[in-house]
Amino acid sequence: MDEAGLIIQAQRGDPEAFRLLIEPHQERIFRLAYLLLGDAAAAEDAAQETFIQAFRALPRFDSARPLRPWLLRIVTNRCYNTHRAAKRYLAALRRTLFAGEAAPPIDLHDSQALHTAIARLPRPDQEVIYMRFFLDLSVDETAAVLAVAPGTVKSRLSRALARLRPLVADDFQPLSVEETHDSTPTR
Amino acid sequence: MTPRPPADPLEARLRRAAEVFPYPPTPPISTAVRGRLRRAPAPARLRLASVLMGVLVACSLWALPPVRAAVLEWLQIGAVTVVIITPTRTSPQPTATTVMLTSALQLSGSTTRAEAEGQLGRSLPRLALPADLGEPALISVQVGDRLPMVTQVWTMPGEPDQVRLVLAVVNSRGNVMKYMSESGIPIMVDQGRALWLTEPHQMVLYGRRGPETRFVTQHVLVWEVEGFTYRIETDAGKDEAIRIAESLVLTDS
Repeated sequence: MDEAGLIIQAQRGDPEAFRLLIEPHQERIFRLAYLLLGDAAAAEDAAQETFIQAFRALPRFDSARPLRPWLLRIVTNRCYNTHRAAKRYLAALRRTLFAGEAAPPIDLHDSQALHTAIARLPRPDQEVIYMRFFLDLSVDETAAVLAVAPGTVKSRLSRALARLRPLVADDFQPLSVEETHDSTPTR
Repeated sequence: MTPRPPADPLEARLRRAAEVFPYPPTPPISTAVRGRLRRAPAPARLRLASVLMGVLVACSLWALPPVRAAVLEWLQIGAVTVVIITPTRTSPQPTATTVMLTSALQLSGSTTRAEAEGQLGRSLPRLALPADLGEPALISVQVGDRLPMVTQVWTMPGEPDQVRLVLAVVNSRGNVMKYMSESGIPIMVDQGRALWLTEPHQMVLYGRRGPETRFVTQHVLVWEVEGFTYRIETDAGKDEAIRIAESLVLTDS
């Protein structure tokens, strides 16, 4: 049964249909919440609340629409006002990165450092970067999630990257290496 | 869809970072959700009998011969003043210049979003919850003491006469009066003071037709953020109303 069919079944109160409907999306929803909140427990809670909210609103959902952008919008909005977990995570990550412990592989270190830098951007910048790069959503799907025009996604992303660039250059030395094709760090 | 290789080195780094990002394992969310849905109580419903009684009592105040009103207490949240009066004495009587409304859909000052934002001096707030709210059926502006109150009214899907949710915003230097016989419940919204009102009550505000007295039957949550006072009217319970209020989005999209 396709998604539209599962939505109709779930709208009729079929719990198994609802489970089948949300399972393919739970990893992506959880990961976006984790990117925005920086805390696994908070992300799990946000993901659960997202699906609970979706269940309650499902009777009014248009089964002809794709489910994923709607779910992503709900979790994005749910994470919007949650700041405390992200700040704790950021502080913990900074301590880990610069504690002098055994360094993780360079790509992983780079990834974590970039995430730390992104977390310092305004929330709308974070959202568009995470959706376009980390969740690999298309411009059109990102626009559907954020309820803006596709052109706005492109301009927002451009501004977000412009704000990210100096953060990367100034504060995160591993990321400020002059770009070469093999990207070999100098330290 | 395969994205074309990015020319920007930062974009290339972001894509590599995304590929190796150390996400924690995804927990069994669908299982947990199914368990919670099984345990969840039935959706909160209005206690119809008590609401009707409240309406009856309040209406009887209008029908009784005038008796002097006695203020027991007043509570203030931003621009909203809640006046607690004894039920054996008078509440404000309608006059020839007072308009009595029974639904938020009857509010005067219907306008466009752009016009309302122009009068308010800022973007209209929006609510992230409920997620399927969509555009309001009515945007209304009342101006009293030169400070406008903007009210957005959402209706139930397929029921254009049935109010689903009301969100009002007014500068905290404004003045909105509520008259009730029972005190509201002090609560917290986003760690700030708020008031939760469950009793049907009268609310007086100023519109283009003069003072408009509206009888509010839904639950009301009043709170203040950064110099503006917000009200939502909803059939939801307190916890859900707090979640709705805390989903308030103030920045432009």
